[in-house]
Amino acid sequence: MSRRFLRHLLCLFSFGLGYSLSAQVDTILALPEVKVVAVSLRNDAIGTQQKKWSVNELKKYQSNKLPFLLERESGVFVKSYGLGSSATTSIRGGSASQTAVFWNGLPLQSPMLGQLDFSLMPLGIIEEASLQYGGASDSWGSGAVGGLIHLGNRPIQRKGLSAGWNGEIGAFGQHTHLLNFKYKGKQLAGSSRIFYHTADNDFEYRAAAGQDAKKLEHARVIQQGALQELYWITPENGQFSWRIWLQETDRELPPTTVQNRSLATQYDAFLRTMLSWEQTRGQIYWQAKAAVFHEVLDYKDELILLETNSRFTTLMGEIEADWYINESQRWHFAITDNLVEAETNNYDTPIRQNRFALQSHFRQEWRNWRVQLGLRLALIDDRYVPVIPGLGVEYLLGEKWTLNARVNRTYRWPTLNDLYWSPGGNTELKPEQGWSQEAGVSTIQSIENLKFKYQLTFFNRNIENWILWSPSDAGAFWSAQNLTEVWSRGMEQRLDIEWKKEDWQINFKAGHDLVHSTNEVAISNPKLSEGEQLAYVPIHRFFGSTTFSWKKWELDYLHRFTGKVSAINVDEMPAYHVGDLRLQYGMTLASWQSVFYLRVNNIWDTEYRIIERRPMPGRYYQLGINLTFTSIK
Amino acid sequence: MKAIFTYVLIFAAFMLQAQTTADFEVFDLNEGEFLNGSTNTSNDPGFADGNVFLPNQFNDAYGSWTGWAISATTDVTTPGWGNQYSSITGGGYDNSETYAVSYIFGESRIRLTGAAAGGVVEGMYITNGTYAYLSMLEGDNIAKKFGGETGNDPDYFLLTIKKYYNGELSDESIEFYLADYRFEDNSQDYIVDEWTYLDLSSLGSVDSLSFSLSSSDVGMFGMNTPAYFCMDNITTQDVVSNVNELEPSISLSLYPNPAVDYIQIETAEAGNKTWGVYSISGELLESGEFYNEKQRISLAHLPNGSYFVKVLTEAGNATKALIIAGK
Repeated sequence: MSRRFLRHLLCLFSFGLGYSLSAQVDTILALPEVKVVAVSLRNDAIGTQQKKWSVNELKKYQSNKLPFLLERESGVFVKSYGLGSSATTSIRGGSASQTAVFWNGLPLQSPMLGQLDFSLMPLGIIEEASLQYGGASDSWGSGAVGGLIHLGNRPIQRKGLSAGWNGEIGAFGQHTHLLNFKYKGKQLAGSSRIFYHTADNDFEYRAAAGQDAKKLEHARVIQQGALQELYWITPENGQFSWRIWLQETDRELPPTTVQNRSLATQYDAFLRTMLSWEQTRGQIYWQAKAAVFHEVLDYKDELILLETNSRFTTLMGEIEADWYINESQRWHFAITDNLVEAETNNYDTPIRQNRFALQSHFRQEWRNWRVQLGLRLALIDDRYVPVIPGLGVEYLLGEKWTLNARVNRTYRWPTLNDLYWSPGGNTELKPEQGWSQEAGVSTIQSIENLKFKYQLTFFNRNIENWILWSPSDAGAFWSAQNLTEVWSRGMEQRLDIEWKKEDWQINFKAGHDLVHSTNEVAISNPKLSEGEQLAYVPIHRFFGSTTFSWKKWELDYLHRFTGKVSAINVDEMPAYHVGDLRLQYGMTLASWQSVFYLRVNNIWDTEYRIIERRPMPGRYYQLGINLTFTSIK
Repeated sequence: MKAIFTYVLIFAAFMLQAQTTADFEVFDLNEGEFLNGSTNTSNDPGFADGNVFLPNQFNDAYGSWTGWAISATTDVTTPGWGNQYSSITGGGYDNSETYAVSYIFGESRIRLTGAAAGGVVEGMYITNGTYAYLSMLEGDNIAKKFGGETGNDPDYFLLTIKKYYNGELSDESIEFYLADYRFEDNSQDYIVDEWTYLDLSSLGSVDSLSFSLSSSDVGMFGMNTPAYFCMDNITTQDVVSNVNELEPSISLSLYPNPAVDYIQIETAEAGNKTWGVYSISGELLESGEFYNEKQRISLAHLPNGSYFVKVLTEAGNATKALIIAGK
């Protein structure tokens, strides 16, 4: 098979994904003459629900952090401790550690905590974001239980020079600046981005109706960072990429609503750098990555004289190959090794852990069927992870309907803190593991100017050996234990309607998630009854948006409803509705493009809380400008 | 007869001296020091003073302790777990240096030993630890400030004391609010910040005392309020054993005991006998004479509480603890 044929095949294949609601593009090999889109089997899961945001959609959020996007445009429940404060996620009733997050295919969760603080993730430095619901441990290993989020950078598409600035001011002392420069030549390309964000977050809130408003104090955030990318397209049509991402965040941690004062602060900093090589040789697409992440988390509370300093360094290496056997068969293979070294005051000694994995996927297509089988074998230090299989199926029912189903085993390996924190770490912990299944139907319909997409998904997941920290027999300290089993099941609906006529365009998007995630073993501490819904997992969640576009104007209204949840100290936290409005106007002048926008968040001034004792802001405003210069070639 | 009453007076005087108070100064700690059991290698770890024993469980793996610690720390301003050994008064009772701190996981106990074993605990001084006090006053990462967001939450922090006697945990208890925000008028809300005397004599005969804490601030992981309190100058009534050691004993039984309106004294000794009912502080409250082996004594005008009944004869004497209850 000639290289030309392979390219043709790859292009066909990628276009063939059109019938899927949300095909995910992993990498674009921006070759000088012809663009070949390679989609790794691992990235292109079959039989599951996915959401991919376009570059233009992401641009609307580029001054914000990842939680801002997820809570408005996905079924992810974002557990935010407040404006500028930590945020974690729950997908399909999973825990925060059961959401896997990747940056250009590399895991971002802290190996110490097992989770990512989403509030540290600026959207202004990525061009790709996608969300895959459900378990995917056969492809992505530990933690890909509830769902996974891919964030990525896209190689520069347009030759020449471009530069941009996004400046935004907002209530509560918010200032955000994002500056970028991009250059693409014949074989070399580069991108530089720097950003700075500061906010006092000193909004007012009321404890209860009729009470005087109080101002949140000690909530200031300063974040700054830079991302540098370099690309070199080799004469053999391979591509080397190098990225380095530096970021630091200084945060004051505000008191709870039942705490008079706080002097706690947190400093998060990291250096993440990666080198990757991609090449198509014959019928095989090769990719190799090497990366080093070094991250710091320093917590300090001068009030209670407590200081905790954590550091870890991860070395990652990965080689993967996608073999296009023929038009209906593909095979993927990957070898991954991650070595982490972590230290904190609470480890007796620095901890070193090695995670090695082999994985393979095979896809068979015939007639209206697509079937993909995945298998992953992993070794963590000297402990074998159970074999992790996954099977996805799609069936095209006519031209407009697709049926899909997926079953896979999932697991989450205990974090380093679960294992080694002193006191309380438990080296005897077993991994959380179980099986997840889902099935759904989707359709795409078109009538003249109207496009209509609908997707319905049912899912089921059982996880055993669920890890919880609870007071130990010794009393004074908590310890990690495999305490319970959790059964999650539910239904998800997605609706997308687009209407276009002349200068007008209206988009309507809506989603509804019904999630029951219940504890299946009665335990005394923490107090959990059999059949009890997990804390901070809403049974109902709705999100919807309507966008009106006319010429250079665009108006968005976004609405979300979160049902009542149980919490740690109260049986029930009330449900709430929150709406946001965004108005933008775009101008183009020669090589200059500018977009002015005004965002009114929480336009109905809803008094609500996501986490108990943590207030959220009422109505507030953000005003910004995007200025872009593109050289004319 | 005159000789007998003279003896009674001597006996009463002796009783006054036979109260034993454990003030923990015997541990000779300097300011800022504490004992949390980390150096204790005994099979029965804890702290003994006077006629009480304060058990301590220290976990080497966790570096943690439960039960009792002995402290001379004085920090009344630093919140948080790091200041878990300090009393909110900055020292012991009556400006003494040393006091006991309890961290309760389930329950803490105090065992009566020596002459006080099975006897009466007269009382003790109680106050909050700085950690719990500031947590209730200002809130912390886990626990709420009492009164909550509006100041109107009816919060409380309650110490409950029960007794073990003859292997059984009593139903009756003594309750002491270390903090109470349940008043309609918020100006009456309080958190204890002084050493406060707690009379335990109504518990009567005791092998050991059981202490537990409860709070209105409870979550999925149990009580959020730090489970600490401080104790000093626990006084036990060990007169019975001491007197018996000095005096020849005779047989004596009292019934019913606890009693309501009367008791019956029964002794095998012949001849003239004198009886006396004493308060636990040694005050002679009632007395009389009898000649038979049995004598019924009215208690109608004595209130509920702990007493001693003493019988004196030519052959010797005997003393028994008496509880009056149910009035």
